[in-house]
Amino acid sequence: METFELLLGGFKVAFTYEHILLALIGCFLGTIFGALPGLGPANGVAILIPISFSLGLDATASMILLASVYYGAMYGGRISSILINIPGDEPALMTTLDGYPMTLKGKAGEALTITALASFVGAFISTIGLMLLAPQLVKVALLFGPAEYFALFAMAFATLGGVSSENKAKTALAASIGLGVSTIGIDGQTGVPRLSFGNVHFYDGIDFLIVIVGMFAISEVFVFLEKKQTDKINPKLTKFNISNIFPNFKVLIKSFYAALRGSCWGFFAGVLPGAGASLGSFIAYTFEKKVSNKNNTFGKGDERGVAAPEAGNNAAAGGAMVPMLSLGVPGSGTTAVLLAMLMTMNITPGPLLFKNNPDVVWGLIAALFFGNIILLILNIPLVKLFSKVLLLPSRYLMPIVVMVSFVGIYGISGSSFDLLLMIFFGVLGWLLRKFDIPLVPVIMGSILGRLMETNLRRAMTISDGDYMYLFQSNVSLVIWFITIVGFIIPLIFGDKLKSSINKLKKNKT
Amino acid sequence: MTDRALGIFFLVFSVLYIYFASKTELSFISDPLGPKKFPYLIGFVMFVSSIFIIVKPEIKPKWSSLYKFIELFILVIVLILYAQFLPILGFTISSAIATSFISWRLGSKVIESIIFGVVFSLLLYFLFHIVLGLSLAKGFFGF
Repeated sequence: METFELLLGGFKVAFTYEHILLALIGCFLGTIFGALPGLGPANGVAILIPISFSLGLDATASMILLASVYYGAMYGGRISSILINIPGDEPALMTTLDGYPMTLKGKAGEALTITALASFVGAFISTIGLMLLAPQLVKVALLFGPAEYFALFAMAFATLGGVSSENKAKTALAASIGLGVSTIGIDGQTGVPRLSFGNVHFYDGIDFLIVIVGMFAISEVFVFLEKKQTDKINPKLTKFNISNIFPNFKVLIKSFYAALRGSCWGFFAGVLPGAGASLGSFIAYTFEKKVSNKNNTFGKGDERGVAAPEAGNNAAAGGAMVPMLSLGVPGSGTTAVLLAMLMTMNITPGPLLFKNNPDVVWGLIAALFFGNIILLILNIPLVKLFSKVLLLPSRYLMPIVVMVSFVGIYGISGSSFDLLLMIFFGVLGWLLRKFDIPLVPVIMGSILGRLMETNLRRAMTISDGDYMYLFQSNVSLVIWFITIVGFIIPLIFGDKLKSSINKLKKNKT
Repeated sequence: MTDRALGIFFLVFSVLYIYFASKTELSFISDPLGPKKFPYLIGFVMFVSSIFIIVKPEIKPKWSSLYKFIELFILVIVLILYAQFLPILGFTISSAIATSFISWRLGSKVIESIIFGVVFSLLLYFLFHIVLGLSLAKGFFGF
C-alpha cells in the first residue's frame, strides 16, 4: 500500500515536539474560536496566519497549527449551539435544533459528549477520505494546463456558496472587488506598475493577508460595536447545567449510526465545489430526519439530531481540504484562508504540492488524525472549561481580536501603512456586510487573482492570443460546463432551499 | 433603495477602474494578452453585476442611528491614530490606550477598561516579544 507508506512518513513528520505542541495549541484555540458566538473557523485561522508567519514557522508547522484550529473550531461550534441556543459558527446552526432542547431537558452533558464523538467520527472519516481521494484527484489535475486552470478558477467563483447561495449578482460583485484588489501593483509578466497611482506602497501589490485579517477580524469589531446594546445574551440562557456527561450505551449506538450517515453526506458536500460545511450539516440533518424521525422526536431533543449534523460539518471540513490541496482551488472561506497561508510560504497547492512537498501534505494528514484525537480528549472532560469561554463578554473579546490582528500584520512588514490598509479593509468588510455582500468571494479574489491572471496569460501566450484556446480541450469544456451549471442551478432551485433554511433560522428566533 | 445606491456606486467605480487600468503604461516587451485585459474583464464583471443590482435590488440594510455612526467613526479614527502613533509611542503604551478605549466603548466601566488595557498590553508584550520573539513596534521609549 503506497498510501500507507506515505502516511507513515507523514506521522514521522508530524511527531516532533514542535508539531505536537502546535497541534495542541491549535486544537485548544480552535475550540475556543468555534465556541465563541460570532467567531468561526475563518476568523480564527485569519487571525493566526500573520502570527504564524511572523514567528517564522515553516509550511508544515503552520499548516498543522492552522488546520488544527480549523478542525477545533468545527468541534467548538457545537458548544454554544447546545448550551445557549446560539450557533458558535454558521455550520453549527443545525445542531441547535435538537441540541438546545436536550439542554432544556437537562441532558446538556450527554448532548455535548455525543456531539464530541460524532465530530470525531466525522473528522476521522473525512480525513481518511481526504487521504484516499486527494491523490486520485491529483492524477487528474496533472493533465491540466493553463487553460484548464483558468476554467477551474472561474468554476470556484461561479459555484461559491453552493446551491444555497444568496444573490448571484452580489457574489459576482464581491468576486470582482477581490480580483480587482489583486491587480494592483507591478505586473508580474511585464514589470510595469499597474493601478498603483505612483504610490510606492502599492508597487508590491496588496498582501492578501491584510485583506483577510481586515475583513475577517477587524470588521467583526465594527459589527459588535454597532449592535452592542441591541442584543445581549439573555441571562436566563446562560444558566445551563452540565451534570451527567455519559449517555447510555443504547443511545450511543443509535447516534453512532447517525454520525456515520452524517459523515458521508458531510464529506460529499465538502468535496463538491462551493458547498462547504453549512450545507454539509444541513443535508446530514435533513437526511437523518427522513430516516430516523419515526416517532416524531426530532426537534425535541433527539440524540441523532445532534449527532448527524455535527458529524456532517466536521466531515465537510475535511472534505473541503480535498480540492484545496489537490487542485489549489478552495471551495470555502476557511480553505481559502488556508490556501493563502501556503501561498505566503511560497508553496502553490495543487498537483505539484504532492510531488514536491509530500512532507507538507502527509505531515498535515497525519497531524489531522492526531489532532482529532486531541480534540476528542479536550472536548469530553474539558467541556466545562470551554463552556465558561462562552460567557467571556465581547467587551474583552473584541479588543483582543483587534490587538492580535495588529500584532500579526505589523509583525510581517513592520509598516504602519499596512495597518492602515487593514483598517480600510475592516471598514469595507463592515460596509459590504451591511449590504449582504458575501466576504468570502472578496477574499478568494484577492488570493487567487494573480494565479488566475497568470494562467489566463500563459494560455494566451501558448495560443498566441486566440481566445478559443480556452475552450479547446475536453477537460476544460467539462469544467466550463460545471461552471455554467453551478452558476445557473442556484438561480432555479436556490430560492426553495434558501427559504427552507430561512424557515429553520426563523423558528429559532 | 440603498441597494440601488450600492449598485450605482460600483457601476461608477467599475468604469473608473477600467479607465485607470487602461492608463497602465506598456513595456516594450509584452505577452499577447498584456497587463490590461484581465482588469478589463474584472471591470466588465463588476459593471454587469452592478447593473443587475440596480435593476433588481433586494434588501434594505438596516442603518443604525446617527449616534452609532459617530461611534463607529470615532473607533476608526482611534484605530488610525493607533497605526500612526505605534512607531512613536511604542507597542505597549499605544496598545494599552487602544485596548482600553475599545473595551470602554463596548460597555466596560472606565476603571475596568483601563486595568484591562494595561494588563492585556503587557501580557501581549510578554507573550509575543519576550516568549515568542516577535518584533513589535519599539517607539521612542523602546518598548
